[in-house]
Formats: sequence, structure tokens, C-alpha cells
Amino acid sequence: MSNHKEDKIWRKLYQQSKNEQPPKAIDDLILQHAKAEITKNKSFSRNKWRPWLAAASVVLVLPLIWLLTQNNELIDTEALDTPMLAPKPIQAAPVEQGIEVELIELDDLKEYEEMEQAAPSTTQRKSATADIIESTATNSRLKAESLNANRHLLMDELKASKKTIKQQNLDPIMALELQQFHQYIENNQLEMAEQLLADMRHSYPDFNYDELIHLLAETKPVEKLPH
Amino acid sequence: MLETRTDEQLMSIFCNDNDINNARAFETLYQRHKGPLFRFIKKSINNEQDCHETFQELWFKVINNKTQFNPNHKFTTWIYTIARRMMIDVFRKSGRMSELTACMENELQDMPLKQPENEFETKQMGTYLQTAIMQLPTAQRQTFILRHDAGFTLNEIAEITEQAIEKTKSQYRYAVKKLKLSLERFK
Repeated sequence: MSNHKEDKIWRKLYQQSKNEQPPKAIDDLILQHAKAEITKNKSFSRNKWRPWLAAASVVLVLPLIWLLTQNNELIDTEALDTPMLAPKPIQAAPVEQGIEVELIELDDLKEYEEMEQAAPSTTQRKSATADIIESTATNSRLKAESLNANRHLLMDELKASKKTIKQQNLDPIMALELQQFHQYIENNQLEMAEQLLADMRHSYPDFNYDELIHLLAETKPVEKLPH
Repeated sequence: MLETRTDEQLMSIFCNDNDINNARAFETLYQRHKGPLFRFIKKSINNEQDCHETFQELWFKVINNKTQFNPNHKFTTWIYTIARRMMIDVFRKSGRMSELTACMENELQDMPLKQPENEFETKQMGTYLQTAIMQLPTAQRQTFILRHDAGFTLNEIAEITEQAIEKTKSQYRYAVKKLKLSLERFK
């Protein structure tokens, strides 16, 4: 009998027991595991971009922050190097309306004065170079003028930002001191009044004392010029 | 239609996470091979509990290691090789390794296989054959089942069982002779 024919008989006989299958419970377990694996992989493929996105955003944001920082430094450097440019004006709200005003600290003024002192040396340095080129004197004079102009501007702004002495602005102690000041003026105790004014200016630097200074100056006897 | 796809194509669909048919592809593949694989394991191990565990573990391995499948190779060769290796572990753990290795026997006389004359005789011979198969040494039993249940060629069986083709041929020859002997009463 040929092998081929024999194989057919074996297969036919073997077919009789070929109906044996795994239990349904195992089928379900295996198919469920396959589905779970597919779901897990799908969610992984969705999540796998997250670290890359985070990294990309860091890569984009960091240079942006660095650029912004650099720009600020640039602006600061420019402000120091070219004192002709006026410092950014501080927006002062109308004082009369009693709106809370953001005040320039005395430190700011000092800082400005230091800047002002530093400026001539920068100017000198620049003018030394400019000597070689041409007309250093003109340049330095122009710069000094612009410095003065800037200083006046800053002083005006500083004054504008200060509160006027009005009853609604004063705290009780300052009100008492103000009353005392007027009493000194009435009694012609000018030295005492001057002393009190100095104390008030020291204790309450946020106020504009021009009015009181004028009052004191008007009350003082006019010094006669020596012949 | 997934039913017309080859095993390898179904595996490729199953491996592709973006394919909406991947779950169905696996189900088709499973339905196609679960019977022959289950019988191969059951008849090789000859222990119900171990058979169920091995069968489940085998498919879990296929699912978890699907990316390791090379679509240029036959899926059946791949899965039967894994199954056989797992069964060797089972034999090792239960101290039955001698069953796998013991197969050298005296040469038996070759006799013709009787063709069954009717349906009744076919059924009777089939039942006898199952009993006779279970009495074969494990290696011969595996070779016979792989040949007539899963439909592998002897070359493919040699690849799955990771042994020389001559040894596989010899195992098959011994198995057939013994089975013919057990069916001699139907002459």
C-alpha cells in the first residue's frame, strides 16, 4: 500500500476523535486576555507621545524665557549707556481724586542720582574715544544737558506722585502736628515751625510739603540785602 | 474577510495596534488552531490539569510575545515549537523526562493497514486508534499527532521538535508500525 493511500486511511480514522476542543472557560479567558493586551497597547501608543510633548514644550519655552531675560538686560544696559533716553515715566494718577498712588521710593531717587553720577564717567570714557574721532566736547555737553533735563523730569514725576496735605489724607498724629505747625506760624515761632516741618518731612515722606514751605517762606521776614 | 487570510496575515493584523480588526484577527486565528493544538498538548501530556494550564499559558505567551513573531515564517511552526518547549518543561517538572527520550525499540515487522469497510468499522477502528495512540511513547505520539491532526510534513515536524529529519522519520515509522499492530484485530 502506498504511503499516500495509507496516510488517507490514518487521517480518516483519526477524524473520529477530532472533535475534542478546549473548555469554553479557557476560550473566554484567552480571548479576554488578547483584548486586554490590545487595549493596553492602544492606550500606551496614545500615552507614548506625552513625554515627547512635555520635552518639546520645555525646549520651546526655555529659549523663550532666556530671550525675554536677555531683552530686559539689554534694555537695562541701554538705559545705563545712553542717559539721553528718559527713564520710563511712572504713570501718576490724579492726586486730587484721592486715588491710591504708587509712590516712587526715596531709594529710586538715590539710585537715579547714582546713575547720574556714573553717567559722566561713561561719558568721559566715550568722549576719550570720540576725541580721536571728532568733537567730544559737543557730545559731552549735550549729554550733560540731557541728564539735567532727565533729572528735572524725574523730580517733577516724584512730586506729582506725592500726596497733597489734606485732612482726609492725614492720620490723627500728623493732623495734630499740622495744627501745631499752623499755631507756630500764627505765634510767629518760625524756628519751631521750621523744626516741626523738618520732622514731619522725615516722618511722613509721602506727602508734598510745598504748600507748607511756601507758607513758612512768606511768614519769614525778608532779609535785607547789605548795602 | 478575515477567514480567507493566512495565519501569517492574521498575526500581522493582530500585531498592528492601529488596525481596528486586530481583536477579530486573533479570534479567527485562535478558532482555527485551538482544536489541533489542544489535542496535541492533551495527547502529549496525558494529564487533564497540566494540559489545560499548558494550553492557556501557550496562548498567553503568543499574545504577550506577538511582536517576536516573524511573518516570513509559518505561524503554525512557531506556535507548535513553543508548545513543545513548554511541554518539555512540564515533563521536566513532573519528573517524566524519560518518557520523552525513551523511544528506541526493537524493529517491528511492517504490515499493511486495513481499510475500514463501512462507517461502523471506521468508528470502531477510530476508537481503537485513539487508545493505541495514547500507548505510544511521547515522542512518537507527538510526531503522529502533528502529522495527522495538525497536518504537518515530516520536515516541518523535524523543525518543530528541533531534531534531525532522520530521527523524525524513524519516530513516525515506529509509531505507524505499532498502531497497525494494535489495529490487527480488524483484519
